[in-house]
Amino acid sequence: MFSDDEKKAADDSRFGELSPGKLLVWARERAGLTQEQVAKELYMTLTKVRALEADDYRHMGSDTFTRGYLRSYANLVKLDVVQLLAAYDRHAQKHGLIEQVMPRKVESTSKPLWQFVVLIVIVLLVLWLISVWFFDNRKAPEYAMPAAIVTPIETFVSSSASGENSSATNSDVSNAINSINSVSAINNFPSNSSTGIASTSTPSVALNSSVASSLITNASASSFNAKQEVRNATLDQIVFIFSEECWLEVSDSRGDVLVADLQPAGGRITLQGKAPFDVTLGNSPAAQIELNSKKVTVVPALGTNVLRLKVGKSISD
Amino acid sequence: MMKLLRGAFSNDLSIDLGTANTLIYVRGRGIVLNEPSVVAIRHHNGTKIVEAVGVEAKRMLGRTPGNITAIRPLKDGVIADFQVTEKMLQHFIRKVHENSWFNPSPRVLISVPCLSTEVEKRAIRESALGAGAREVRLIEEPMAAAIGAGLKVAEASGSMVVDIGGGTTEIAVISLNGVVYSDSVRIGGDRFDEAIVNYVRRNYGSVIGDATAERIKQEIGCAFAGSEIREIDVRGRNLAEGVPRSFTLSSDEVLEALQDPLAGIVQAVKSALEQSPPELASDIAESGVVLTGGGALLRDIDRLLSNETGLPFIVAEDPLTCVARGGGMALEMSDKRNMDLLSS
Repeated sequence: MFSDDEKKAADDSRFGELSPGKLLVWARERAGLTQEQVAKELYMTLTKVRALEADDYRHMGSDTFTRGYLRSYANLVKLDVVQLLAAYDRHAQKHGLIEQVMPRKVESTSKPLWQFVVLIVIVLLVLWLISVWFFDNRKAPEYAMPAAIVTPIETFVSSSASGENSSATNSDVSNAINSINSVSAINNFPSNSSTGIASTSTPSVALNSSVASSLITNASASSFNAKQEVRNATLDQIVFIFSEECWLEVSDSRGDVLVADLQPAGGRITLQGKAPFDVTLGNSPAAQIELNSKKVTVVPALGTNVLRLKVGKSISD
Repeated sequence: MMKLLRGAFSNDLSIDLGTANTLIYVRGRGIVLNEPSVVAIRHHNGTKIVEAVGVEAKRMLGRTPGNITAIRPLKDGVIADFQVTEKMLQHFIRKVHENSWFNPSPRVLISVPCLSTEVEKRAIRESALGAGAREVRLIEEPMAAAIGAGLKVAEASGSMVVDIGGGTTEIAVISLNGVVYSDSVRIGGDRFDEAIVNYVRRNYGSVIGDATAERIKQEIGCAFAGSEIREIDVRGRNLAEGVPRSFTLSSDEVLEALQDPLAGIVQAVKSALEQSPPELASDIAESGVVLTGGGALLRDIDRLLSNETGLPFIVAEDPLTCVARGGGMALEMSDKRNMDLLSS
């Protein structure tokens, strides 16, 4: 059946050059078995044994079964399973029999580049969103001075600088400084800026130094008072009088929380802010409210003593 | 939101959460993890700390000091210790994604025994979610094993698969992407080890550990009487003398030890063949039965089953990883072709 050369080739490393069917036939004959005996041992039909030996794998079902039959056959006839399956793989590739190759090997995990790129993009996006949010919410400080109010200062400084009225009286100077103070009070200018202006004007006016310093001191004091007056004049006043212990929380229209605390019985609290005020009042029947010295009448909702309301309209409106 | 983002940096996983081994298949990369399902826990001031997981923990089995316990959180194919299983899964999922930039949150497919109850399925699902999975799907083990073994499950012909795992043996007849008949018996590799331990105690008056029993099974274990005889030197503690003694075991003795669990598997296979519809039984008789799982590596188990049933039994290639690979392929098939291969 087989030539001596073929047998030698099978025994040597050239073993794999034969087709799997021929290898099986050779091994079966070496073992002294017939096809019928093989079929009986492997519980296979004779047709399948013949098909395996003829390299006809069309009726074997899936590749799994073909490989399984080849393994069982190889074990029975004491043939090297690995070499037989290698021969089958070559044959199957040559004839396009293998349908799919399943990944089996254990692979080392490598860091995918796309993950890094996506991460960088996400970080940049987040940074951009944060910067957009930050710059949108940032308000430029308003240091602009209204022209109508600036005029008196300029008038005062220019008249002083010209030296025309070098014998200016104390009352002139104080009037001028008062006007400066009123400007600084209105515009929230730092008090030393007004002082700076007064100092700048001093040498040109050529006043007595003691008079000048007293004027500046007076100017600082009156500056604070004027500031308070202006603020008080624009703020609303709300008064609460408590006959029993009450919880009180008040915030004004600017969102400033004026008070959030438990108030004692018999207490009275006066708050200043910009109306309308948001008031939350617990045990409301025990409290009286006055807005800008006018009594406010409130009726709590049925079934609760807690009152939440908006009080008043700003006097500046 | 964060889970979705993390999910974008995670791979889909198919996990064969077995009693003896846990295998993880990553889509597009193949099997990336194959470790024993063992966790070593250190007890420190009343708190439990995970000391080691997988191979490292298995080395500790039976060799731990008082404050460390090496345990197997799964028994008979189902979760016996929920929290430890969760920790183990968490460890394995992180290990698979150890080069990821984010904490992983993958989609996970886990295989479950075909006769597991709703409670057991829920325990598996929740432990995977607790371990960080974003979505958990379940598949019946024999279906995954059949797909992993390369059987044509979608065709209108019957295929029978016997998956011999560590805790259970799953038998199923599959046709048209569905399980026509399935059965599960609580006999597997663990029962083989137990039988060997009992045999040695009974016949040699010596005690051996589970790890030694497993080594005996892997090296000289066989299931068929006509197999080649092999021997192994074993050391165990003699019960009468109390000192370690050495003795030699042969494969015939191991075969004798394994008779009971093997008879259980044979009986279950015969029962499944009896229950199969005639058309499918005819297909099975024509093509044969595929063996998968670690138990299929027991020498000549295919010859035993062939001899008992008169049908050709073949061992799948790389039978240990069939379930994990099949799960991964089922995930891909259900995504690409919208096939419903998954269980509940």
